[in-house]
Amino acid sequence: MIAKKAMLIDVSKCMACRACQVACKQWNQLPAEKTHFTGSYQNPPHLSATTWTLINFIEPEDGETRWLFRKQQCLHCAEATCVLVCPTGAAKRREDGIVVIDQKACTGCKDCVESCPFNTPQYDPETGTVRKCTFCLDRVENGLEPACAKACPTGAITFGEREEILQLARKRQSVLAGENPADAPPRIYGEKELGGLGVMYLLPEKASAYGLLENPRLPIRNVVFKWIVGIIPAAAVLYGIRRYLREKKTVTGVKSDSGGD
Amino acid sequence: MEHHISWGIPVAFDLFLAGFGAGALLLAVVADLFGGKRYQKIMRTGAFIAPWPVLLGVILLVVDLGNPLRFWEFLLRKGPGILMFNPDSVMSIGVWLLTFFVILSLVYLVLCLVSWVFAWGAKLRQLVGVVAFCFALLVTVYTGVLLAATPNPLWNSVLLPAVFSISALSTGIAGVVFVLALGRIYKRAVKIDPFVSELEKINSRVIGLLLLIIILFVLAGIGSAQMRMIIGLRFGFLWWIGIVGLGLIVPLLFGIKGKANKPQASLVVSALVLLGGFLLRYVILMGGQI
Repeated sequence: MIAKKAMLIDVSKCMACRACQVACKQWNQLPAEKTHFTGSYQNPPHLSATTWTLINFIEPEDGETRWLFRKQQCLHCAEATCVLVCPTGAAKRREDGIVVIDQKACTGCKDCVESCPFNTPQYDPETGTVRKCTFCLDRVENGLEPACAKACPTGAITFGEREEILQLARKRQSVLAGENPADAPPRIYGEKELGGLGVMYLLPEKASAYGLLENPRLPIRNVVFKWIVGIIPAAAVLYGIRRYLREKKTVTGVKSDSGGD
Repeated sequence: MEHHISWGIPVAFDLFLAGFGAGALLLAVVADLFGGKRYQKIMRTGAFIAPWPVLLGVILLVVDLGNPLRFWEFLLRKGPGILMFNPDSVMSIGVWLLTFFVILSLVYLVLCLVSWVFAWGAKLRQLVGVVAFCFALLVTVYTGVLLAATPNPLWNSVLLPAVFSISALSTGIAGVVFVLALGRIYKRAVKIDPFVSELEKINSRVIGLLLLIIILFVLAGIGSAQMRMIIGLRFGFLWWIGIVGLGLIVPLLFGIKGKANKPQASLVVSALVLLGGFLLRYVILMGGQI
């Protein structure tokens, strides 16, 4: 079995220089975007088909003036919703854990865009396909780390085999816990979530403060139940119509051979 | 705005058209199996309507794809196996449901015509009808499940598939009424057939149930800002006047006794049911993406 790849994003080391954003664009040959000022330094304002990673600038409204930074990107979930919902099999999870959308097979139906709990895949009207972070597959296959990890000047982004990355996360967790003994130790987000994420965050504050779901769940988990709840009233109505037609047909006394001509 | 419109008006039309055609087929098969001679005309009208809206909806969906020419990726796969099917994907299930529905409803229509003209093939027609019925029932539910399987707070509701499936039945019945009323007007008849009034009476009950499920759907989702938006300022006019008023309350009251017999009135009211059915999909689809 091939070892799973993973990335650790240690937000306590991120200074929002956005070198990762630029490196991602350069390596993946993604064009710059016309952008506009939204009142935040976060720029462009959101992920797009040509912006696969983005430093989120979050200003918590707790009286204190400060920033939280989080590198937003595809989290390469083990239980990836995009892979589950993809009707053509274009979205795939490779054996090394990297989730990719095959640009040659994507029809642009956008089901993954609507279904991803992290709102990651983005539709590109230019190509008619949905695009997202590939973990720099072409680099990783040649033994290099993704462009964002390579560019990060503070070591906030590390990439490697998942087990090693998890150990590194635990080490950093205890270091940070030692520095701030009064606070709860930082959370390793993605260790268990959705079967284990390919991108793990070390979060000193609550996940929701970073714009992450505290407890991400598969949106399709109750889907059988939803089918049933949809079928039952429709079947009941049809049964009612059947009874009505049967009664009426005898009441009016029209001879019938139960449907045949 | 974080979210762009992924699924626009063509998808709203498909959600409506798929339910409409499938609903018409469900009515046709029930009339075929249990209605006897008295309701043969309902069977034929329903069978005549059923395939076309669904086919049109599928064509709209394909055209709306980012890469329409890759539509075959939904059906065929490269490598192991020949057919593409992803049982985890509601859309993949839906693609096959729609494909089989269109084929079966076309076969059913042909058999209806054959058994009408040549007086044979009724058993085969009913057999195909039963199979098509199963697919039609799932098609009416599918459009709701597709949306309900996303994390979108407006759509991720166990009640949404029921909203769409019951609405599909009411639009299917209304479509049959519409065509029958149109036929009477074309023949310059003053009155509609009595079984059309009966259909309106049935539909009045179906719409009553639909109204109840929609109220539950709204109350259950009232915590989400999007739900408050679709019943509030942004879509309030369409929601209250178009969907609830014209699309639900008017046909509910119109058909409540099943005594109305003017074909013009039946035509207008059944058209309102269809309009309301479309607006229901449109508002829920757009409301979830703004």
